[in-house]
Amino acid sequence: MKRIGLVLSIGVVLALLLAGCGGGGAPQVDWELKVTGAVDSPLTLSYADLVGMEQVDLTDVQMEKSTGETELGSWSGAPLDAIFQQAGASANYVSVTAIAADGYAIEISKDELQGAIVALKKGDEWIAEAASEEGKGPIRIVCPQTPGNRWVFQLQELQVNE
Amino acid sequence: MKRILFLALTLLVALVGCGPSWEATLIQPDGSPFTVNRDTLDSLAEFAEEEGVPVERVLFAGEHYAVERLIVTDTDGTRREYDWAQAAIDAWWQDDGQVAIDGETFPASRVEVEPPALLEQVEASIVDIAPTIAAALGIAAPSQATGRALDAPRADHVLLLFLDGLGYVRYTEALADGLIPYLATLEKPRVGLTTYPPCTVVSTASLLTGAPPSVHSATQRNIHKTETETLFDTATAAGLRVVAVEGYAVSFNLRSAELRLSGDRDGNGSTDDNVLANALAVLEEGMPDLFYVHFHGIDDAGHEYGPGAPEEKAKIREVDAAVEQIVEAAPPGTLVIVFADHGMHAVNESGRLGNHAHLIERDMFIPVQLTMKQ
Repeated sequence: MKRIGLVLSIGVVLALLLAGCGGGGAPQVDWELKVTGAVDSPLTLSYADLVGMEQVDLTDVQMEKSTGETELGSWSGAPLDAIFQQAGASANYVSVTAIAADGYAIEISKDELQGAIVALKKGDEWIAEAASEEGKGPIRIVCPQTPGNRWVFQLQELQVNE
Repeated sequence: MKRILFLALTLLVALVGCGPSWEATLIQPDGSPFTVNRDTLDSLAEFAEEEGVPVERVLFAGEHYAVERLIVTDTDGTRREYDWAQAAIDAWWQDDGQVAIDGETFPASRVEVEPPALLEQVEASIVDIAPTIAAALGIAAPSQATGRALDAPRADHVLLLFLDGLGYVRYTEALADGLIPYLATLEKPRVGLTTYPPCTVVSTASLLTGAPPSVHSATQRNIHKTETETLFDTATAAGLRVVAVEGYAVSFNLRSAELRLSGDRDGNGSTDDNVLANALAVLEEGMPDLFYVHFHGIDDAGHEYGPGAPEEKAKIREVDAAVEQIVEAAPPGTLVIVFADHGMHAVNESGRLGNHAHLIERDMFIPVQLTMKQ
């Protein structure tokens, strides 16, 4: 009887631990995203700032890889429009240069940014913790229906171009 | 009895574990033998695919930089010859010593390479460009550069014009077809060799570091940066201003340079006109000490329509005219270096009619054209 009790309590502790892990609390991440260029007030958003913003879910969006293959995925994060509103981005901006921590940079046109988010989660997992996103930093820009080379990971700066 | 059984079992396991050993000889360009065995393939394991290690990786390790024909003799003495432009894409070396080329698998014993005739005319390498620029500007070459400075005068500025995908063979064809009237007025290009695999990221790493992939570690397409010191690092450390005008994205980390991207803001499907506009804007502000301008259009058109297609020819003409505008706007005392990162050969693959990544003449040879603007 004692043994059953022990097994039960181990089970309960394990269940609690697992629930705790998957419960969705945002991880503590030291990361900053700068918004610069044609904006009224250049911004520096911490990871916690991004977590605290309104979150949008993009379900089953298609990413076209450079190999020509496509991948469906679901992403959630802060909408770019809200970030730009906060920074006072020029209404006449034509493109955004997304710059990654590893030096990769790409200019993305305004049209291609429709519905874009700064993603914090892939599916139910925080990007910062997802094994599939290892080495890709905690946030990436997701631009639905555009080639994957626009979906910059290790995103560090969004430079607004007029 | 138990002990004998145990020993026999151990021996069996050891034998199975080792597998049959094999060895093949690759004849190097200087005629010396390069032994290929399981260790050779293990050292190239990062490049292995399901089919094995690409034969080209072994050839490159054996210091072959361009291949016209490959002659493989198997362990039975049977000799097979391959036109490398055709066979390169489907040629693998397997762990058990068998090679699989063009659908046929056999044990290789001796491998010989017949290089393209153009190899004899090579006067420059992509790794020579950084030391050449460093010497012209009077600054230190990148610390791990293996290239040598080509003969060039001291210069106040260097203008590095990067014509993506315009390999030496295509350059000479374009010259003969009258597609590059402005480039034709500059000094004659040297026949140059790029590095392997001939693709933009690996070549750019060699361009900037003056060193081969074994040094800068950007050995394949998906590696976009290097920890090795670059020309841009040494130039900025010497207090020089380095500006890089790129297309809509950087293909390789250009740290230490002021970066100007050129997205296709007019939506005409090309960034070359945006690159030109950005380059002219930089020149109007004042010529940087080192100015890097990267045109992507010839490569894009080559992939999409194939080398020699009307669309690709139009793009070559357009880039030639853009080069003219930039060089004309640069101040006297500028050393102008026109070069390509790789060439392009015709293919018939899904979604593309041109490609590059092989040890073949059209992919590996590049023009390196040095002109002092007076």
